Amino acid sequence: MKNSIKAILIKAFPHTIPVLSGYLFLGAAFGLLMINLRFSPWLVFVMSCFIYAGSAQFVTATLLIAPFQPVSAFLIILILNARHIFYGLAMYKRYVTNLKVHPYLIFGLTDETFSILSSIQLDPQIDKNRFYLTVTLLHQLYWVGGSMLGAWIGIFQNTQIKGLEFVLTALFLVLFIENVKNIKSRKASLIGLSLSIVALIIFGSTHFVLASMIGLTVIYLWLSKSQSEQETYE
Amino acid sequence: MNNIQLLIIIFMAVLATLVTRFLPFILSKQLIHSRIFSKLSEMLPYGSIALLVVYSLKETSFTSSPFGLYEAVGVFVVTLLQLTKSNALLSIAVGTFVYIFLLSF
Repeated sequence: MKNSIKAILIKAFPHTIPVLSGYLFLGAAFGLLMINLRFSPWLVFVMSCFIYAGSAQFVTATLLIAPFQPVSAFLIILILNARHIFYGLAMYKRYVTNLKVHPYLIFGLTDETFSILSSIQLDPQIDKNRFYLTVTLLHQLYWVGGSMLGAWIGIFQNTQIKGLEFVLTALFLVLFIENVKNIKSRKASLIGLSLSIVALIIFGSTHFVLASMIGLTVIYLWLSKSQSEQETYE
Repeated sequence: MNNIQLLIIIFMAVLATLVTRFLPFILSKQLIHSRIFSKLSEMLPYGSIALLVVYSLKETSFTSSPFGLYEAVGVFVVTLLQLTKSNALLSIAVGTFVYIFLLSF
C-alpha cells in the first residue's frame, strides 16, 4: 500500500509545491517570450519537453533569432549547463542502485529537482526510485504546463506578475539555511556560499558558475584528502 | 532561419543539456567508488545549494536604484522566518509575497 502510485503521489506532492509555483511562473515567462518573438506554441512545447532546462531555454530563444550557428549554440548551452555535471556527481550514490539508474532521473535533473531530491530524508520503507521518479515527473509537468500557459497568455491575454521568480531564490535559501543549521553540512555550505560570492565579484554573472565549480571541487577534494588521511592515522 | 534550422538549433540545445546531465553517470566506476570521491560527493550537494542561492540572485544590481534593497529584504524575511519557525513553505510564501509587494511600488 505504502508504495502504490497514489500513496507515493500523496507523499511527494507537498515537496513539489515551491517548485510548482516557481515553474508555473518561469515556464509562463518562457512561453510568453517565445510567442512575443513570433514563434509557434508547438516550438514552446517541444523545447520544454526535450531541452527542459530553464536558463538554457531562455538563451536558446535568443539563439533562434540570431544567425544560424549550430556549433556555437551547442557550446554556449554546454557551458551554461555545466553546473549539471555537479548535480550528477552529487546524486550518483542516491540514484544508482544495483548498478542501475533510471535514465529519466538523469534527464530531469534540473536545478530545482536537484535541490529538492538532494535534501530530502526518505522513510526507508518508501520505494526510493518511484518517489524520485514521481517528483521529477511532476516538476516537468509543472514546467511544460507553465510554458504552455505562458504561450496561451501571449496569444490571448496581456498580464504579468512581476517578481514571482523570487520563489525559487527563497526555495534555495531555505534549503541552504537548513544545511547551515545542521553541524554536519555547515562547513561545506558556508565555504560554498563565500566562494560563490567571491567568484561572482571577480568573474561577473556570466562566468562565475564555472569558476565556483572548479574552486569548490578543488577545496572539497583537499578537505576530503586531509579528512581521509586523518582517519588513517587514527 | 527556416524551420529545419530552428529545429537544428533546438536539437543542439537538447544535446548539450543531455551531455551535461549524463556525463557524471558514464564516468569510470573506479573513480566513483574511490574513498575521496565518496567524501567529495557528500560535500558537493551542500556547495551546490549555496551556489544556487548566489546564482538566483546574480542579476541583482547594487549600482542602480533600489540598490538590491528588495532582494535584501526578501532574503532577510526568508532567513528570519526559517531560523525562527523552520517551516519551509511559510518562509518561501511570505518571502516571495514581500518581494512581489515591494516590486509593485
